[in-house]
Amino acid sequence: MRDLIQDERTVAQKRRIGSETCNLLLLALIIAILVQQYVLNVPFAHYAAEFICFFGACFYLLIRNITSGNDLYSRKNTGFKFVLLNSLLCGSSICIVTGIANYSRYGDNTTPSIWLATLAITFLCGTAGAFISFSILHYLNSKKQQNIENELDEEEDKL
Amino acid sequence: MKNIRMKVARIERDMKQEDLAQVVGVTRQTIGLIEAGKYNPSLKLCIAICKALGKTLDGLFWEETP
Repeated sequence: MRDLIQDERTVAQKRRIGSETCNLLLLALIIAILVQQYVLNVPFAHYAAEFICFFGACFYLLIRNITSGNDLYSRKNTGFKFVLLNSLLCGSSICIVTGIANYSRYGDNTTPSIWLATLAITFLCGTAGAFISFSILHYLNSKKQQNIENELDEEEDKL
Repeated sequence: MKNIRMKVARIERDMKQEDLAQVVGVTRQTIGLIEAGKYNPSLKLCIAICKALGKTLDGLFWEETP
């Protein structure tokens, strides 16, 4: 028994610490990317490593969760309403951040109509991009959940 | 090792995995994995399952004597 069961408390605590470190690292990466992109105005090549690491880690987190069968869109939030809401929120965030950055950079050289048109295009593209990504995730998640449900139904029917 | 006793206790109560999962506050997958013997639940979860099924910890989770 002693060999089989490790100290559960310390194992759980170590995992929690690892998870917290990962979250802090992701937060630091996104701050580093935003500061370099919008405050320091450095070329993409300067923060490409952080960019790839951040989005790679996010992609890994999502795919691992989906393949493990964790329901990303819990039953309460099912449906395209949630996907649409998330996309609008994402599009708005991109629009606000890019709008502020563009205004601080080119505010003096552009007319309000061009600036507003740029904002509208950014919002539309951001929302559309987010909608496509979230829809794909929603589809993959639903498919996996359906497979799990079918497997559980088969198991349940066996008895 | 499959937990047949838990499955039987659940069926005796005329509950589906989904019903038990809702009462206990976990996903159906978790209940399925416990019944299949592929997930080792915490004591807290074991107690919640026992309460939901009206059984004792011994009755559901203690190793069967050969």
